[in-house]
Amino acid sequence: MRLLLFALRRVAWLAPTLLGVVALTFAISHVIPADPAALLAGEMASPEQIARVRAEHGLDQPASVQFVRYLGRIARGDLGRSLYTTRDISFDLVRRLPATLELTLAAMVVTVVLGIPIGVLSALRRNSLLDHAVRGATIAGLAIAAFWMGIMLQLLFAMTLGWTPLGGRLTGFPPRTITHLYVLDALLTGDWSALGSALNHLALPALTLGIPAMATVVRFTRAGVLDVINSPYVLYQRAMGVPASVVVWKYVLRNAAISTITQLGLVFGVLLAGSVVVETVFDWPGLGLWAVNSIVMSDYNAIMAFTLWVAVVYIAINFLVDVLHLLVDPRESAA
Amino acid sequence: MAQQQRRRSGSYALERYDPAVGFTAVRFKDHFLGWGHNQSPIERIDFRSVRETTSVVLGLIKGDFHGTDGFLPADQIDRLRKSENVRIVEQETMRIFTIQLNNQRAPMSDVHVRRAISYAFDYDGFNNGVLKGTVVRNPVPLPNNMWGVPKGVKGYTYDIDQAKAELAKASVKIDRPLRLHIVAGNAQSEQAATVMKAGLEKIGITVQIVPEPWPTLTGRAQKVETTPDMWTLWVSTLYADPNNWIGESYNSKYWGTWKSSSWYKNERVDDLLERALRSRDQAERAKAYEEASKIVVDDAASVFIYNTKEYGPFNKRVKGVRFCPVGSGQEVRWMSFE
Amino acid sequence: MSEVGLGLRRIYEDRLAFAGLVILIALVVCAVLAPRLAPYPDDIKEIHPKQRLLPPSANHLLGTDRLGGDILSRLLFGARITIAIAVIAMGVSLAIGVPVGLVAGYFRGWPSDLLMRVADVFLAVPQIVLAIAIAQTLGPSIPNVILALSATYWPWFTRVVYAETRSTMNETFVEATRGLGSNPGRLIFLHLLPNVASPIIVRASLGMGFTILTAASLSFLGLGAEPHSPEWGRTIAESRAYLPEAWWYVAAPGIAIFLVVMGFNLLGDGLRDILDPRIRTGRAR
Repeated sequence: MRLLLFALRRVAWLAPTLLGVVALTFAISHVIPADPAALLAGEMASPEQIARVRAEHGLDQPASVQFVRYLGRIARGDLGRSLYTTRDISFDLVRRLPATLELTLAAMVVTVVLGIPIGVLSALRRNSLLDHAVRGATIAGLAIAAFWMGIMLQLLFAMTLGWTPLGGRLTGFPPRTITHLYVLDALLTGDWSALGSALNHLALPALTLGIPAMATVVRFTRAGVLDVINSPYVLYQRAMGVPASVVVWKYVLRNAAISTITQLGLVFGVLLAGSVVVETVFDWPGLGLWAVNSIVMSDYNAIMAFTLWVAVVYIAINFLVDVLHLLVDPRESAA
Repeated sequence: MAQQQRRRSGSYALERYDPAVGFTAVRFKDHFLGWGHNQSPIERIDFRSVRETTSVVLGLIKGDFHGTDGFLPADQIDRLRKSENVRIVEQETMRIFTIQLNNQRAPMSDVHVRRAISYAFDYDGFNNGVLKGTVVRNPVPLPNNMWGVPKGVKGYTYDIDQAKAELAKASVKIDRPLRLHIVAGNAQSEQAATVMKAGLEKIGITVQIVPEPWPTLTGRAQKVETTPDMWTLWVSTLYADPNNWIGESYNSKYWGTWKSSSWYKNERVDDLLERALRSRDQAERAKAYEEASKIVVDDAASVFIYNTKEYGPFNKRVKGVRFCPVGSGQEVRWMSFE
Repeated sequence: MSEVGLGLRRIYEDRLAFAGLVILIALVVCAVLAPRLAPYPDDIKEIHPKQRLLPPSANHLLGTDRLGGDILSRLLFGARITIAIAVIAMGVSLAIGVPVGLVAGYFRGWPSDLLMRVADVFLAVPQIVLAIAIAQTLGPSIPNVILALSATYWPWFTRVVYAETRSTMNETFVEATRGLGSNPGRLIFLHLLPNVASPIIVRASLGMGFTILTAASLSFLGLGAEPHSPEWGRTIAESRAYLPEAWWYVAAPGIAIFLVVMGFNLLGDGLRDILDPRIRTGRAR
């Protein structure tokens, strides 16, 4: 019951925020530019062409009317037409989504599978050499430009050592399509060469995307575990003679997991943001690269759609994380 | 094969297509020209769309790719030459590179300013330094190796003193930065613009470099008011006749097309070019084009920089590569793979 | 005045924060003295096509770039752009975010909620994505990048200031003074601002590093610095076509970015450690 109430309250917060984000993208695309019709029509359009575009898109209407129409279109899933490909943007977006999804999931795996154990270990061995090294690495990890790190990794592993390809998702054509995620599809269809190729191509981009997020996760996890270790409950357990290993496994890790779930929203935001530059460096045909192509081609519609999309996903993830957190740690529902 | 542009060829049929990846094509056995000329034609072509130049180059070096288009930067050509797997097919082609000047807008409307600009571009530094000699200096409005080119026209050289002298004779004031538009994402366009900018700085003219997508640039060229002050332009071979270059660029009847974005108008030149277009006598046409060229160069209608040499990188095992300047393409139906 | 002295002393004692401060001072010195320090100061304008892509040597400590410019000299001038972007963007963010946070914290009711809601909306989009949208719409240039960064960073200040303001407003002594009818200006300047100053400083320092990374990313994507600008992110983008042979071309600007961001992060972390306990043990309550 409490959960339901909490969920409802969060949804109540969600709706205005979503509306606000739509309003924000509307403002950027329709209000900021001196003449949105000119932007849409393109630099070379004649005054007559611009006027026609203005009428067609209802840009001569007052802002409030335009906004309502914009809202209606978004709600129907109509994100407009690409100025460059002239296809429906939602079509392009859905097409490019699986690549980004696969990369993000892979980076998530890197982040969580490496980040949490390192964070826990670092906390358990506080002030040891390992701990200092880890802390130094996380501070450094947060200071490195992701796009630069990607290029340097390419330089080392792809160009110099030749262990991985330079970029792209796959060498050769994809495995038979089920989920559009190459690794999964290759596994499901037993296409081992495609599997190998897909993993090989995923390696560097997933690392590049995951490492900065990992730095955050390590820091949070470490702090969370330290809090728990120093908590009265754990001290009591140890005083009662419960072996350290048992305490670690049963209590510390469980609480560390909870604190990690809390950060997942933040981590996902970092991954979403990072995907733009990482996909550019590795020629990864996902949404990030699509956004960058749209930048080069001045495709304003596509950029706005991308912004809106990222915001919606980010909000949705944060909402889900909140709900998940609530399920896992019911104490928070009192808040 | 990896290509950065798609080509149509009736001799091969499309098999699979994915916009993010590329496409495959299989040999069309019933092609109307037949296959008797080729003992071991290529059965299947795998075109990949690869954005990043370095990926293409390394793929060629490793042997994953068997060929690509001829627009690689000079440094990449050098790397490929050193590779065992790659053979560079070198051809002089007909594709000139210029910086267009808007002749109808001040200060470019003044011939002395245009000449000053022409003296301020470091041709040797760009052609031989930046592009490492993979292009040929082309000081006239049509390719050097085309008939109709006047003999002994040296054109402009990089001479700052001459540039300043010309500028001193100008009757218009230059009180604003000039805007030099380039093709967004094109490194050579950027570097050429930077060379131009560095030179103009030396004679006291500031330049602002503005990258824009190609469709925007060609759209701008339709009207004189929207045409940029300056912009980088390649003119390649649509048909192998001088009219393709000097005609369409400097005959004012073509105003409003992208080739004609210099908005140049000279009655004598118009007359010569019109007569040359209508005549069937090649010798007579050649004379007309030669005279028109000299006037256009003297008027410094545009900054004429180079003619392209095309370097087609192919895997050593690919035989039968035939080159054609039109469209800078190669027909796969002549090729075979050992 | 003595508090500043005390603060500086404590920074000196925290070795990491001190290291951060040293790096930042070095950055400012490089930027300010660039024309004097750079071996080839004209290379931001001039090109030397016959000296392209030379590896590091005695003449060119960090090698030359694709147009023959000395990379070390260009990096030093690039430092100016980096500092300018970071400082101005932070300044504008502060100028927007702090007053909004103060107002939202000071008053109650729907205006306050509305302001915080607006801040939430801006925070709902990852900064670089929103910055791309704004920069693209306004047109790629450094001033527009600064604008885009400010427009996306201000909510961080608002949140911090709002939290601090609210908690101060809840103090009994504040209620007492308000009850006695003292004017809000005094309240703000004498009580709120001193409390709020510390978290603002910490947030600004941490935010600088993040802003620099985002700005470099935007230039890398082609949205910021114009062609031939010595900006660090743009230089990295230019260098890609010449790898792996010209490794110095990509390494140098990347390390520069790393050092500067590291400096801000170390300083920010240190400041947080120094200033936080002071907030807790508190001022005259």
